Amino acid sequence: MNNPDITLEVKSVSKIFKDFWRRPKVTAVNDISFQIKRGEIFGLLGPNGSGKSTTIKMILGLLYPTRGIIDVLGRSPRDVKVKRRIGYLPEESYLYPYLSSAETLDFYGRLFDLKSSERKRRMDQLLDMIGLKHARRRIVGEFSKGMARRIGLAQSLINDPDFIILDEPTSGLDPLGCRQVKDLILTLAKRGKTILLTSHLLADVEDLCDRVAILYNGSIQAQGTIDALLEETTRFRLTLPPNATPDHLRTLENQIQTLTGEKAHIDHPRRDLEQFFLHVVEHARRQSGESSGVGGDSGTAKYLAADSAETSGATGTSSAPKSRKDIDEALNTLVKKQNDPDR
Amino acid sequence: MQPVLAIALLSIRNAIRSKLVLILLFLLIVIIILLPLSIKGDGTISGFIQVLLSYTLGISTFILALTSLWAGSASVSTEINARTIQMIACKPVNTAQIWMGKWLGLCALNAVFLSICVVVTYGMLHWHLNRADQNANEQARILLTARQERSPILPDLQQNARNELNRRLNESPSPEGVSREQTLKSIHQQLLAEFYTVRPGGRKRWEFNSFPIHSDRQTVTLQYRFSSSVIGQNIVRGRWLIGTSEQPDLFDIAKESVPRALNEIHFVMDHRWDGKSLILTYVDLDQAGATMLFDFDKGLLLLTPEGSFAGNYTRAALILFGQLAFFTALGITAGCLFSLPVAAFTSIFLLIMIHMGSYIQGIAMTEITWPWQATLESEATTWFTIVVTLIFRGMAFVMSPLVHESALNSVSTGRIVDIWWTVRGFLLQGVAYSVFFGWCASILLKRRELALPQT
Repeated sequence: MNNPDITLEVKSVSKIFKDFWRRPKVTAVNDISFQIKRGEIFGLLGPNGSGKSTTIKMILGLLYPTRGIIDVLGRSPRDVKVKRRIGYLPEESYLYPYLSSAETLDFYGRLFDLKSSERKRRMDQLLDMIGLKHARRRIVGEFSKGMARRIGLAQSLINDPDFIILDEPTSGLDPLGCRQVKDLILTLAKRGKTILLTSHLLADVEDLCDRVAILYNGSIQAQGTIDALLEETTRFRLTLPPNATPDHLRTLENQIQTLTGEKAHIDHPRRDLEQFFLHVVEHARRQSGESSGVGGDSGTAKYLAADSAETSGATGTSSAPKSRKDIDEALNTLVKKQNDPDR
Repeated sequence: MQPVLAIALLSIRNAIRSKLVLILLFLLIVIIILLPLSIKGDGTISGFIQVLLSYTLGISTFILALTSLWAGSASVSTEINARTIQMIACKPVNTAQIWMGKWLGLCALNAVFLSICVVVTYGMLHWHLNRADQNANEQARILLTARQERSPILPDLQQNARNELNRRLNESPSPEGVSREQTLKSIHQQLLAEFYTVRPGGRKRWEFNSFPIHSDRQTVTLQYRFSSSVIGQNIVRGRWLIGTSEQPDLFDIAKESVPRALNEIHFVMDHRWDGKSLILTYVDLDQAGATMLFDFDKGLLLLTPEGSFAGNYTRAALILFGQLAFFTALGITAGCLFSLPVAAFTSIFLLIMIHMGSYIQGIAMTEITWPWQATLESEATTWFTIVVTLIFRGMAFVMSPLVHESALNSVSTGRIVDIWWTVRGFLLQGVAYSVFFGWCASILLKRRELALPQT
């Protein structure tokens, strides 16, 4: 694969785990194929044990496919040159508990052969971005799960990667952290970075992803753009202009009832809980000042945000936030279907 | 190179921030300080030096060797277990760099620990000598040097044996069923024994090649070990004449020697000896009529100073460091293949095998008489013995660079650890074998899937 617009191509890949005697034990991934274009945010969804992490580890070259081919940035995932352009946040932050947060980032920076001055610059910006600048000398072993997750995220970005793989990026984070991570993902996508993410929080996926693939039992059950997967052509939504009054609504309701013979349902829109929570916390922070845990949002690290304006027109830029159709429902229906013996 | 150094630094930080390192350091210092004080030696200064340098430092380095194996085994296997290796393996770092980083980090720690042991031991030695009397200090002055072992010039025993065999064959034909080779070997042994034998009331003369004289007062040691034909004899009386071919009795020393013990005579040489062979004569004056047979292997030696103790000690430390580097490489390689308990068990088993090297070499030297070589006198070796011997020969071949005399033993007895030994010990074990292990480990690690589900 030499198409520069394709970041990842997975072709008919299967992974069978074998026992000590090389006998097949579990088929973790079964003949999956998908592509991710440059600048796209791609979501890999599925219940536990569906093969998401196995797929990611094959993409990273940590597991080898039993069958099929994986091309990452035009090369084999085991190619060291490819790894220079990848950032990876695992499902659990596998960090060295005896290193401080600054030492952790410095260590991973060294693995990318970054110069000392560049490492320091990026380390400062990343620690600032994740709100742990004040904890740069604290050892990671003392961190809460959320703080460790933030360090894990920072290390995945130390090399300013072209292809970022985030396994449950918002897991363990508070709503504020989730929002920051989501904003960061959107910023990176605007810079033309390609992002592959998995999440159990389907609302996050819906907010962020251009396309998703839904895995179940090692196979892809559905894949496509969020809009294509979630659009219901048999139902309609009407958006009224801001100057609409209750009288207008009543007239409209009567009209619909006359035309269809059924009563239309009209109510007040609600903010979602995440937005409300963020509003309350922001208000409280302004009132009380510093927090002992994670510091405030200092925005995206400068080296990661650079050129975002110029690259915002790159192919496949994110169009989030999208309409809030219930993707959970789609997945649950799918799972039920799989479990139904009469299907 | 930066990723390698980063991984090395990570290993060092891991060790420094672990309490185990402090415990190890404390243990080593306690051993070095308390062991020589608690072991009751023979009361002589040479005995104390032997205890301090050979036993104490030997035990310390053995502990370091075990620690190296354990730390090496743990360095990769625990990372695989804790999955932290996945975070390294998905970065632009190849498996050889991971191995090299781990090895360099642990070698750096070994260098620090070994240096501490060596310096503390050296300090202990000086502290003890400062408190010892003048006589002990004089003995220590002779012992704490780097002395070259020199053996007497052997005649061409092979040629002499062939001549003797021909002479005998001319007198009478060889008995049927006895091969020429066996007879030749037997005559060779007889001539060698003759070379080292002094008959009752007789005298024997040996010649030593000339050797460099470095100062006007160079103390040379004659060291010998012999057996007496008189069972239970404790003292054998005689005279040693030491000189040149022109004047063979420059030194005339009457000596009561002890059979089976290491006997020593010190004498001072000056520049007048430059370029001259040394002639050594033993005159037997024993009343009991004992025949003396000096040991064939280093039973009659001249020890001549060739360098300082500090240099000798440093070279021995370098060899020890090479050994520790080798054990570290062995441990890391095992850790790349197996989980920690299996890796530690495998590497410690190999350590024991290496320490049994001389035993293995002994078995490997068992002579095989192939069926087609069998004669009336010698039966063919059984196939079972042949297979076992060949296996041991293979093991002995692989282990041969690792099995040699202890450098610490040489230092403690004032024998030189020469440059060639140091280079061979350090480069072969510390570098060549380690690099070979690293190469094997990196290939195996590359083939291994590092994110397999753990059972």
